[in-house]
Amino acid sequence: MEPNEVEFEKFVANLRIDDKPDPGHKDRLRWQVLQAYHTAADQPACRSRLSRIRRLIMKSSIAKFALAASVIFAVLLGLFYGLGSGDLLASAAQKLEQIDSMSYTMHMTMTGLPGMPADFKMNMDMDILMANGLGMRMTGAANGSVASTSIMNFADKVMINLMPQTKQYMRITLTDELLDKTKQQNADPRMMVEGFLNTEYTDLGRSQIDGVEVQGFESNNPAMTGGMFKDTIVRIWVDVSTGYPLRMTIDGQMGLQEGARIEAIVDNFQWNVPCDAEMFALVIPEGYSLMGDLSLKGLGNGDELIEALKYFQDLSGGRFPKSLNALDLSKELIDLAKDGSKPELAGKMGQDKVLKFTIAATNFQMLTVQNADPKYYGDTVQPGDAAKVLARWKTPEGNYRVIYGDLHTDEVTAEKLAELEAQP
Amino acid sequence: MAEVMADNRVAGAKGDGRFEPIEDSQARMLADLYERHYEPIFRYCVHRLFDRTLAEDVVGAVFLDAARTIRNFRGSEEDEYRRWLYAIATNHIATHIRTSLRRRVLLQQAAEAGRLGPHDEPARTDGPEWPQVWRAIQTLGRNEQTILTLRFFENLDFASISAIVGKRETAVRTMLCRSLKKLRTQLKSVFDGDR
Repeated sequence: MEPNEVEFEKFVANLRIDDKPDPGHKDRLRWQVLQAYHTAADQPACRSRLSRIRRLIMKSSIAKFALAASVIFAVLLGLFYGLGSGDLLASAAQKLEQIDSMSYTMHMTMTGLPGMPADFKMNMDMDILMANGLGMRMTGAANGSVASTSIMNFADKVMINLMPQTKQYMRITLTDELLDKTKQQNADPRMMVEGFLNTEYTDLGRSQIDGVEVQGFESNNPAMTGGMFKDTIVRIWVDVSTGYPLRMTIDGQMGLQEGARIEAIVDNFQWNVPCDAEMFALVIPEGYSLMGDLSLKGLGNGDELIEALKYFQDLSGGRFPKSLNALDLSKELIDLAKDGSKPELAGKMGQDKVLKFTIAATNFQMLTVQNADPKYYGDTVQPGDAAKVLARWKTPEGNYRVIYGDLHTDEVTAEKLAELEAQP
Repeated sequence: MAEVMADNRVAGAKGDGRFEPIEDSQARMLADLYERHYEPIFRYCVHRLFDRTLAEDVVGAVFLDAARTIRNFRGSEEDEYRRWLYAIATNHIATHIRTSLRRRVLLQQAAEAGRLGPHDEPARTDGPEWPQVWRAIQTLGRNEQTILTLRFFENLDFASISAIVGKRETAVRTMLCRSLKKLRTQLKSVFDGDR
């Protein structure tokens, strides 16, 4: 080695360089790399999503919350979407019977998000992988920046949601019932087709997508998106030649605000994607802290929802939230926090309560998926009104659980409920 | 109902619903390569780009490219794969620098001010500082930067560097020698111990 080289080698050895990699990045990328490998087998011209990854500036904690709520929406949307029907889908059902795992992408554009400027559009790109018997994995990038990775492990009945921007994670425990429903829907496409058959749909006829001849179907049933969106239009296009779904779109209003809308495009379906259990291991990267440990265990007798409603009453000076849509709740909480007189909303304790509230509301919305006929009247019922139905849903026995305006609860028959709701 | 796919992957569930292991030696090799080379490639990117976030982006692009093209790579030795990954990284770094000159200028300014560096350690005052050295390296030509970094920061031998940059070993040695002379001028005060 030349003297110059020796000298420079020593020189470099003395440099202090921050070049130690982040294990979290390595973990996240590992999965993307393996997925890219498998995707390339079927789609040689697949595009890199990474080039679009940039930093999203999320300065306010409430904005982060809005993002977290959006992520929960996205995850649930991913879990409970349905597939279409029709003559063509009869053969699709047969093909889908062979599917053990699948991956797809979902591009969502959301407008009217709480805490964001009116013209702000949040673009989310989700890469989703589901495997029968193993779990689900979803990586989401918001406006180009990796916002979350959600991993659901069927064996553990747990979903974790990793948020790399804040190095936090949420742990969400599912009930057996919810888990079974998820597995059933994801693993047995016949159930999805059957679900579509049970709803009204419109045959959109044949057209072409990227040169592929497809047949389209449309449904306006809110249950197709888990009841999370109003004015829902779900469309699905099936590849006429292969019989597999090629693309699905969802368009809906996210809450009470007219401007809060979501448009989602689901495509790039890959079937029988090779998977192994490691892809669904619930591994928390080093340095991440727990943001919330929550349970999607359903509403039960409504205790958690009542607790959340009491919390809101205290915060708001005595009223109910107008809606139990998570994004509407975010908007109302942001409005309450704006004047700075609500220290309860600050810090981790406030964040925990808000998240619990979100989960209670999400549990309520999930009742739509479970055909439990939920209704909420927070926009018209006043606190203390013991005769007015504030919220209700159907019990497994066929009766209705009712929460009244004074937050007492009761179980009534359908006939009695009709009388209660008929009151002026 | 296992299904044999076009590239000999076997995926499917057994009759009892359990998932069968996937038999794909190439995927396994990719996973091994990733485990062994993620860190060196990341360091290389940091050394070339200075910014950890940019480095992560580029590392991602490198391994995603590798994942998509590994089926077409004809190497057989470990060293060949390593050189291949460094070559992909070098190309991505060059592309990145070419398309983000503005950002690069900002980074240089930051380096000039000495604002960037290890976050958890106090700035050293008794030796060379990385921002200063990085800024000096930026004054070299692109190939010179690549060769210098591969040689001194990644500790690769000349044969490997030659394969990565696609130049003969003698040319690599000559360029390195020239680079060091230039750097010595740039970093005269540090080399001579005036700091």
